[in-house]
Parts: sequence; C-alpha cells; structure tokens
Amino acid sequence: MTSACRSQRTKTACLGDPRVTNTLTGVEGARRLHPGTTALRILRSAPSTLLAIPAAFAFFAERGLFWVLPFALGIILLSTVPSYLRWRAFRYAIVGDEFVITDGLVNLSRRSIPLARIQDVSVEQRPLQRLFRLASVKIETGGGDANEAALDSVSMAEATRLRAMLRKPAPSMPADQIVATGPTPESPADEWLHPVFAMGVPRIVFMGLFRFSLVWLAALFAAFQYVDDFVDFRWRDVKAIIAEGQQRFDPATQIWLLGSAAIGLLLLGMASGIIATLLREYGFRLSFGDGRFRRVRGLLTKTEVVVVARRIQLAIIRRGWLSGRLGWRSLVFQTLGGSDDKGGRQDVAPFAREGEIAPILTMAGLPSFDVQVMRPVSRGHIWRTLVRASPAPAAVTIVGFTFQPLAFYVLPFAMLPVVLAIISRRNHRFGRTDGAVQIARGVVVHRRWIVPHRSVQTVTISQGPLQRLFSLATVDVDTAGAPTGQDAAIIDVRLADAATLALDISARARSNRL
Amino acid sequence: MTDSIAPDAQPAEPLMPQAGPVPMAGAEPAVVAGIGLIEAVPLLPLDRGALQVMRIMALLTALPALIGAVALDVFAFPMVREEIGFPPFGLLPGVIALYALWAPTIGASRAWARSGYAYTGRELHVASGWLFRRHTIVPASRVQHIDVTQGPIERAFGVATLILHTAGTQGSMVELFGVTHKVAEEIRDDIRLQIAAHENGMPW
Repeated sequence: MTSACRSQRTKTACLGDPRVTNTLTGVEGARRLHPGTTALRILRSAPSTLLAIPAAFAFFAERGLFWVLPFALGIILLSTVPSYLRWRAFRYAIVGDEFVITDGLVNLSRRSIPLARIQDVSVEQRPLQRLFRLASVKIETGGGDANEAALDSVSMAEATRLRAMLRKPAPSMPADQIVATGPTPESPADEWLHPVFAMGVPRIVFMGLFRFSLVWLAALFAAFQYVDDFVDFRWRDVKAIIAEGQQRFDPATQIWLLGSAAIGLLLLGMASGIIATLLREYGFRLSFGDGRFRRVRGLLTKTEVVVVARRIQLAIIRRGWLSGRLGWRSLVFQTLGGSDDKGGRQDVAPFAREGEIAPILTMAGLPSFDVQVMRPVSRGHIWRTLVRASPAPAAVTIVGFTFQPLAFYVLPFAMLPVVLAIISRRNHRFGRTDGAVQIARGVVVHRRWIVPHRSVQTVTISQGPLQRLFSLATVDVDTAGAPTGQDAAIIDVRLADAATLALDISARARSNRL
Repeated sequence: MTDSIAPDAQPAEPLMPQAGPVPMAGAEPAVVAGIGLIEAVPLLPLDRGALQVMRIMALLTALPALIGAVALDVFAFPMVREEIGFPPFGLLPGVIALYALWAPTIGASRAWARSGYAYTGRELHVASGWLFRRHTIVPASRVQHIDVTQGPIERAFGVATLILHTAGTQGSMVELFGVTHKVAEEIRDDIRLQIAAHENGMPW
C-alpha cells in the first residue's frame, strides 16, 4: 500500500492514507490524559502555592481573617482553569503508523512519532500518581532531545494498553537493545572480554611529561596574593628586583639566571603533570568483547566505563604538539548516550602508537584513517584566519610598546597570526572514503576525525560575511552525542566544493543507516 | 578515491524541487535562484505570509528594546550627562529607533528573500539567514519524529513551522519556518510514509 501511495503522492493524498488535520478533533481513538491529571498538577504546584499562604495571612490580618478562606478558594479555582485548559488541549492517538500528540492553547503543535521509530516505552508511577492510580508513559525515539513524548498522566490500564500497542518486536531493532538482553552493559562478565589496550606505569609517567601543567604555579601566585597583606609582597618589589638585577649582572648572567628559573618552572610543571596523569590513568585497561568496550582506570578513584560499539558515532585521533612528533596519539570515541551509559566523548587510548590505534578502530567498526584522500581547504582560510587572529596580537604589540623595555620581546607577537594562519591551513584537510568523512584540523594540537556515513545526522553549510568575501563556506557534520559546539567541521572550503561535499555526505548518509 | 568530491558522487534522484513531491497550492512552484548555498539545489521561497510574520516578530523584539532605551535616556542618563556630557539626549533611542524601523522593513525583507526550502523526497533543505547564511540538509532517513507547530501570528497569516527531530546534537531540531500549513503537512506525511515503508523493507 505504502509504495503505491508514494508513487502518486505528488498528486493527491492517496486512499487509506491516514492523514489527519492539525487537531485530533473528530479523529477516532483520540484520547486525552486522565482527567485526574488536572488535580495532580494542582497538587504538584501546591508547595509553591503554599508559600503564598503566610503572605496572605499577613495581608488579611489587617482586614480580618474572615477573608482568608474565600481567598484560598479563589486561588485554587484560578489555578484550576489553566490546568484544565492544558488538559483539554492535550490529545493523543495512534493514527495509522504514527503516534500523534496535539498540544497547545496558543501555540498549536502536532507531533508525529512514526511507530517504527519508537525505541522504548516506559511506564513510571511516582508516589503522588500511585495515590490516584495513575502513571506516566514516556516514549523514546532516540531523537536528540530527551523529552520526546511524555503522557503525564494516564490511568494504569491505559498505560498498559499503550505499552502493548507501541512496543512491537521491530525487525530493525537497534543493536543496543539486543545487547541489553545479555548481561547488563554496566558489568559485563570478564570472561567475555579480551584485552585490547593497556598502559603500564612507565608509559603513564612518560605520558605525564607531556601533560605539562602550570596550574600549581597559578596556585602559588594566588597564595602570594593571599599572604600579600602579611608579608608585604608587592609586584613593584618584583619589578625593582628585576631592574636591580639588570643593573647588577652582565647580560650573560642574566640569561643564565632566567634560564635556570625557566627550568625550575618546567620541572614543577612536569611534576604536576605526571602526578595528575598517574591519578587519572593508573591501571588503564581497555578490553573488548560481545560488541562493547570496557575501560578501567584511576588510582584513587577507579572508574569503569562501558562503550557499546554500535553506539560509537565517530573517532578522533588527537596528536599533541610534542608527543605527536614522537609518534604518540590519543584515541577518543564519541558515543551516543543510551538509557544506562552516558553519551559524549570517551578516551579509549590516551597515549598510544598508531599501530595500537588501528585495531581498536576496526573493533569499533570504524574505517581507518586514509591519508590518501585528504585535500587541503581553500587558501582563503589563511586570509580569514589572519583577519580573525590579528586583533589580539596587534593589541598586545601596541600595549607592549607603551612599556618601553618590554617592546622588543613583544614584537614577535605581531608575526604570530601569520604563522598561525599558514599552519592552520596546512593542517586543515578533509576527504571522504567509502565509509566515512575525514577531517584533520588543529594548529598546536592536531585532530583527525573519522565520521562514518552511518552516523551523520544533518549536514549544514554556513557562510559568514567574511567568508562571503572570499566565497568560502563551512561544512558542519552533525552527529549524535557531540559536545556542544564541537561537531566535526570543515572550515573554509570553496563554496562550490562545500555544496558538492554536503550533497555527497548527505546522499551517503541516508543510504547508510545505523 | 583520490578526488573526494567527484561528480559521480552526486545523488541520482532529481534535486529540482519542481520534480519534488510537494506541489504548492495553486500556482506552480517558482524556484528562486540565490536562496541557499547549494547552487545545484534551487530552493522555493517561503510563503508570502511568512514575510508578514517576520515583520511582526522583528517589531515585537525591537519595541521592548526601544522602550528600554527611552526609559534609560529619560531616567538614568541625565545624571551621567551632567557628569561627562555624554551621551547626548536622544542618541541611544535614536539608534534603536532606526533599528526598529529597519528590522521589520528592510531587515525582514532581506531575511525572507534569503530563506527557502526544498523537499526532494529524500532530504529536506532549509536555508535561512541574511548576514550569516545557513543551509541545512536533513536526510529523511534520519528523522526521528516530526512536529508541525503554529503560533497565533503564524496562524493569522496561514503559515506553520515544520520541525524535524534527528538524533544529532546541534542539528537535533531543524526548523522550517514559514511554509503554508498544507506544505508542512505534506512534507511531514511523506517523510512519515517513507519511514514506514523502510520499516516494511524498502531501501532508503
């Protein structure tokens, strides 16, 4: 039936097409929530209403307490009206192959949830609902927002009926639900898993060397500020010491002194980096089995994370400035949050060799990164980066020159944006293999994205005024579970290329579904 | 695959909205060049009613700012003016008033002229923005659920907003504002039928 309808959908709505109008008025089987919902809502908002009672008493104390009761009744009646109207506006029905909810008094909305998309139906009964023998039904589709459909509240019988009608044994059941029938994802039995990647103490210490951190230094300065009042420490004293030092020592000694101070700082930073890394990564062990990864790590607080392979949306291979040059990489998976495990980005190999990363990618069902297909973004990227990066260093240079003695040291700052822009363009590349979109980006820290077509949700081309000037555009590839503002982006490709690329990604995305 | 964006990678189905499954009520759909950022996919302009809604919305956002500016100028600035001789009387409200004049007229027209959509049967294209332009593609196969909403102003001008929800993060809600209620429903129903058809074994 559906295919016949689809072929002639250009002309008319075909017969038997369960098309419904904006409201569900007159639709067979359309229902409202349980009328008790109105009372339930008033009771739920009661705590905040109760707060008004002392105020009301204070108010009526002057006018006579006789008025309190009518006043309270009035308030209750007044809060009943919107609650009733809300209840009246909300209707739901199973119409053909979709679950429909219409809602809204002023802003009318009609939500269609295709039955094929419903992944989970949960029935919940909170204490207050239990009192009224009601329940809320929540329908999950795997959409981005949490609140896809919540029927709050319906009778227990209706909840059971809905669950039975909506939860069907789908032929294309998502993998995570199949997995969920095995041992719980939280604690998979160890014998199912085999080790994939582990880090011993020497490697973690070595890794810590690159997690150089001067947070302690900041803490030290903060401490100085704090004891300022007691030890009479002043910044101008420091300046005076520096000035005196410049007079007293010859340039060679000055450099030597500065150098040893810098080395001291470096050692302090390294020590803090090693300690922080050891605390975090001690006993790092990644294992894989039955379609999921398990990661264990931590010295004082041992943490365990399970990542279901099918829920992995993309991989990021990160390359540090120095450690990257020595051949070390870190691998991060972006995973879709499920009902139990939380989404977001997970370190799966924080300090690994290229050869150790490849098998992990394969286990995750991701294609490995193909350098051959990568192409640079437009040369215009240099100009745009330059325009965007210039103001700050320019300001620093100008400010620097106002302090005469420092101006000399500050001068290289003016050149910084140029270097930055050139490196930025050189490092920013993109390409596409049969399985994935690949993006490389980053000036100091370099990242490689592997975004399989199956996890692409939407593709967006955007163009700001400056990009229009150079006829450039940015292509954003949106995936599930991305931290806000950190989706995979190809910045500054020629507009024509961006258009072709976006169409291509979208075309591949829609034929590669999870 | 050396050329990552080879032309043969172009989608096979027709991209022209004329060939698409969504006929506009009445007149033939008139594709307008220059909407959206993909030249190969010409987009349909929004309904004329959307322009009126955009004008009213722009006015509704600019007016409170204007009132605030006048209030500042009358009640708060005199003291500052006495001290430093700035800002001159009427400067801030003047600037805001200019914006309040511009936004519902020229601003809204430009934004409207840059907004458009195309439903190809496989994906929905939505473009918007005048200074910062955006063109989003949502493959129908990625749609999780669909809303059609209509506020009071929209209702007065016969337009509606179609919202496609995907599992994405930033693109988890793609809104197509300013089409007629009929078009919004037609696109919705087609996507819905496709999802059902896929469930019955049809490939995307």
